[in-house]
Amino acid sequence: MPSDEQLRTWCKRLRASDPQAFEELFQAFYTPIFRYARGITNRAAPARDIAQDVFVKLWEIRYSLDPDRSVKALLYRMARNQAYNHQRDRTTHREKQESVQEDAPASPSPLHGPDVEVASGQLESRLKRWIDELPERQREALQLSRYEGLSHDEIAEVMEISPNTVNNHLVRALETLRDRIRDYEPDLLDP
Amino acid sequence: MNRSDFPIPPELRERLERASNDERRSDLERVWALLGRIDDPTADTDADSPDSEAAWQAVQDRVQPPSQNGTAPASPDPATAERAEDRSPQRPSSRQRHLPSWTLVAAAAVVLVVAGLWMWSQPERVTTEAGEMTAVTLPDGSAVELNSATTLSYPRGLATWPLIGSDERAVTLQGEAFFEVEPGETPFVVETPNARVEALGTSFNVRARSEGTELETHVALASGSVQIGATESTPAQPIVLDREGAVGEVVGDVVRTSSDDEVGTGNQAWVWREQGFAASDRSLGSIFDDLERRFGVTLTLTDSTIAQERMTLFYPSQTDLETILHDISVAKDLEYRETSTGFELAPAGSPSSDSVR
Repeated sequence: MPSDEQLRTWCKRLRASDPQAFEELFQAFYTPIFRYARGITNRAAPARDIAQDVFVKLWEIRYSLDPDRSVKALLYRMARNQAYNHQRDRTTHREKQESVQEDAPASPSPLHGPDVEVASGQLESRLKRWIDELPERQREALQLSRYEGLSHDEIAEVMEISPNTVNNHLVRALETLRDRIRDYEPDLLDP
Repeated sequence: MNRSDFPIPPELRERLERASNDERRSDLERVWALLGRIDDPTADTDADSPDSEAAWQAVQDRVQPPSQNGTAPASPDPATAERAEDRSPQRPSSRQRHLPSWTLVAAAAVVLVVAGLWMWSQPERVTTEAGEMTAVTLPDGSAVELNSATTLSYPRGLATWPLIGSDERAVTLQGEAFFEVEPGETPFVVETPNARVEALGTSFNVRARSEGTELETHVALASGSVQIGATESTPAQPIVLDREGAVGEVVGDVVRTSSDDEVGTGNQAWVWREQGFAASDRSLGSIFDDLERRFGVTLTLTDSTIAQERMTLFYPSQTDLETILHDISVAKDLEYRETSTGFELAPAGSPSSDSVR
């Protein structure tokens, strides 16, 4: 994970049109940006296009970059805007229940009872499904924090909310997931 | 580093600790830990990888379409061209239809003047690609030669902006260039990402290329004198070079005369102008970066430890790449062979069929 100093240096070099800095930034962030975009678009193909567009755009606006601001947050924010625009423009939507109601409480799936074998593969695919079923903002905050390692301030900048709201989203997401896990296999919650 | 090992962020931890219920807190911490079992929640079972190699290629093609040949023209910022067109005074406006004609003329004149001033203040940018060099004459008569993969920008009316006087002639440099500065009343300033080089009628080489995590600028003096300072203004004194061949550098925000500051060493810094090549006690990795920029090819090392080796090279006149690679190979016990995009180097004796020594 590049340090703030490294981000700052890249920003200054990029502002001076240094193509090597551009490449280094690309290597560091292309895949995370792609993953993040895919979380919103749910399909890899548009996420790839979006990730590419973000870097092309970054090069185009390089002269106006401010080294005092996080270029990492900028990348994620550009990706976010593009990804949501893409979702909005799509005429057919793959069904994803809570994606329209952004803060609707997630309803727990009907109790199936714990499976006899709690194979780890099973848990992982369930976790993925439960995360996917979280309200969109909670899912996003969770992905950025848990899987992309962004700080609360960075997430706040990307999602254009306050760091406190970021906290709220994370707590609610964790609580929902805890409820799901408890219904599925309560022993997992033992330390 | 396993991506999924991001710990609970401090703000979240604080919130959980303030919660009165210990069990709730430990449950949520446990959930956070369990989430670590997934590497990537967004991946489908039939996930296609992002293929960053192909993506990088695509991005490169889009930002720098392969240029034609020879000297690079000033490359305008595409947004600049757009905005300039928007300011066309001929664009009709329905609101103005009802105004007396003299108002229209005055409005058009104001727009023209504003657009003119605005265009005047937009910087000229000259960029060279890998394998290219070019020369530019600045509005004040100063001459600049640009090495490969370099961008120079300067305001159009260098210190002669009609309405507002300027107390210095400033240009911005990323890459490497040799300056022959016209004597003038205002100081001539070269700004790099981390340094300021100030001169008054002199000639010198500035190399603003960063190899590691710190920004670097290297200056070698050909004639006259220059003052070198760091842009991150610390109380550190700027240094002055006033001997031919003197060399100074700014690494990060530290200014110093270079460790190999002997009379005549600096002359090596601009052999590139004669199509030569020089590197003074630099890592092979950095030398290869330079060779790639200079010849527009891709050089790969099969063994990354080779990149740490240091070398000094000096070719005062035109030299082709294979000669340089040959010499490097002999000195460092390597072998090189041609690839579709350039050359590949490997330690001598490693399994590599048609290698040349």
